[in-house]
Amino acid sequence: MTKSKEAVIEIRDLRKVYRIGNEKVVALNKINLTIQKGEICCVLGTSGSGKSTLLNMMAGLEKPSKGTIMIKKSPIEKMNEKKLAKFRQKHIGFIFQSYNLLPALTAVENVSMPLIFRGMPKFKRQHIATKYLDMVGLKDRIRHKPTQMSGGQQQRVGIARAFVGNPEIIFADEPTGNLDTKTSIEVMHIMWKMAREKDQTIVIVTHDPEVALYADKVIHIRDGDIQSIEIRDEDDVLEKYIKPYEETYAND
Amino acid sequence: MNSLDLALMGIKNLLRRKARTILTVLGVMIGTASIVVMVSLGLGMDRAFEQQLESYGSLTLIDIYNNMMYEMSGDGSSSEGQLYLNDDAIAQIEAMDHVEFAIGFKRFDSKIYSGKYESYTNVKGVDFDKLALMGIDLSQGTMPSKEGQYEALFGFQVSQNFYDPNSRTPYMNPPQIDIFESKIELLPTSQYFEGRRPRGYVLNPTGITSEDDWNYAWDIFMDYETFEKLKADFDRKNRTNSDTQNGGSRRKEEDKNQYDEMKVSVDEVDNVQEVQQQIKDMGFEAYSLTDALENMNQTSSLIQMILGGIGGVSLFVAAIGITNTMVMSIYERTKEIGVMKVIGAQLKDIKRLFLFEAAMLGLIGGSFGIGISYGISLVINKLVSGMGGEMGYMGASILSYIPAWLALAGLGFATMIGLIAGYYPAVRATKLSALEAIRTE
Repeated sequence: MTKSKEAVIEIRDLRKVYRIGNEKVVALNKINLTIQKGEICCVLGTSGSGKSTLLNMMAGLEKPSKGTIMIKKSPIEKMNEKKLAKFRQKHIGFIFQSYNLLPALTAVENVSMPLIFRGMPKFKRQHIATKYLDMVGLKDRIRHKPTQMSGGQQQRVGIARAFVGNPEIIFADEPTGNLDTKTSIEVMHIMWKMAREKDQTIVIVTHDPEVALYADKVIHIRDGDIQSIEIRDEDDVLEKYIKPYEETYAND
Repeated sequence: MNSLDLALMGIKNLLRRKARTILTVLGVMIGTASIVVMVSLGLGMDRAFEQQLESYGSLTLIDIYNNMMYEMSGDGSSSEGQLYLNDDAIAQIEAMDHVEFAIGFKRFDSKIYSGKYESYTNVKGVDFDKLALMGIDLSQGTMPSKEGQYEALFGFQVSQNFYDPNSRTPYMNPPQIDIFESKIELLPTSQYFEGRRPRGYVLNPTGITSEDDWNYAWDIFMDYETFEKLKADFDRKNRTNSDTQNGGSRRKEEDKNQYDEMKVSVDEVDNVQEVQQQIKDMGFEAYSLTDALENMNQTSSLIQMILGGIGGVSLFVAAIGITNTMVMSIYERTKEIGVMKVIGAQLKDIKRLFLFEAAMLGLIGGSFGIGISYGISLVINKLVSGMGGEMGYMGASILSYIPAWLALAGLGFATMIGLIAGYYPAVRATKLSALEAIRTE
């Protein structure tokens, strides 16, 4: 499989220091990282390693102390709140650990939210949202509220919501953190399939090595520094994890 | 985010927190109602006063009298600049802007007889063509015309004033005289006749003025020219009887002052003061009921402001209630706002959402408040007219009056207050850090 080598995320000399009282805590020391278009990338580390901080800064939720983050050639650390909001709306999808669905809304309404913010008329977004719910296997649950769904189902709604606007980059913050192993595999499988289909870039932050098995690139992070970057063969992932899974479930 | 989706989302959010929404709306409702009812009392006062004035006469009429100062100083030496109420003056006034017509009245002291009863009365000489324009309300009959023989319009009190001069207690039992059925004779003089009186002129009453209008209660209106002829005829026949002591000078005076008073009809109440000033500038004395109205308006607008201020305090409290509700709502929805921000909400979407919710609280509270105000207003007026009915005074008058503009203004004001009260929470919501918001577990 040939892939266009185009950098979507470029991080240079990124440093983040938190100030807690009089003490300085270095969350990220000096990060240099490039993520290519279409890559499924996993940031793996224990809690407190700084992996979440890295993700938050890539998503523009936190400002770095030093360094630059270029996403699609735009320096996002220089953007103000308003520009960031616009940027996120256009280019970024987000999957949360605790799903963060709006409890008052049904599945289809939750998935529609990013489209609502774009000002898309109802009939159109309803159609698209239903399509994405179908893709995550929840076609029969579109009118359900989050409280009427299991964790795995809620996360699948979350995934549909992240993908529905067809963003170039999707950030996932411990997407399987609240799920059991079987459901985790299910969720990872869906994310993998959807991202591959449209050549979208995913950055997953996790502490779970099993999640990292699905990634093309695994970034090991520890105490604010990148320890190693492991490049894996895509076809290997497909053969080893995706196909066997599909075969098991084809029998269901 | 388009406005319809925003509105739907806002309404959903309000419905989600029913109890708090209802309580906040209740506050706004009470605030709006108190302002509207208070102002309505002020307006009702205005209206009652206006109605009262109207019973004294039309608000668009100006009364003109000759300026007495001029007459006293102008003792014959120089009549230059001396003004008289005559047809020239009428023509001059009628040429002014906003003036519909001017009409002159000349009083003649007269006596009327009906059978053995007699009565002193004023006959007012007036041009019947113009009298028709005055729009005088009648309780019976029709307006007189120039064509008929000695046609006259009677004030409704005229028939009550007859007495029997031969009775020992002439005023004790006023006779009931139906002026349409009785023969009524007129003598154009106030002279007392010992023994036989001269022959009078039989009047032909065509109508009686309305009992609601005390302006013309004691007058008899006759056509000016007809009466002049009648009087001339009478004076010629009864030369010896007429009062000739200072006839010379008086006649001269009468020639100059064709009328005793004039009335000017103005097209609209608002223009009365302007026309009145122009007439005063000519040198006449001019009065109108709007003089009183001006004063009253000043006082009542002050009272309205005070009443409105009292009502305003409760709306102010309600506004704080809205702010409080919205701030609470931010705390509650911190996470939701953060999620919305992360998944693509623009800052202005969030601001608009909060402003919309606050404005809705104002609008809903305002509309219920207006409804309540109409109810309260109805009850107040019922109670007052009930009391007034027993006292037989100002039965139809009202105390509280809510015109459409007040209702709309109240609604608009409540919504505005909502918007203003919601501004701070809305800005605060946009400033929430998305990250902090998501972290809140």
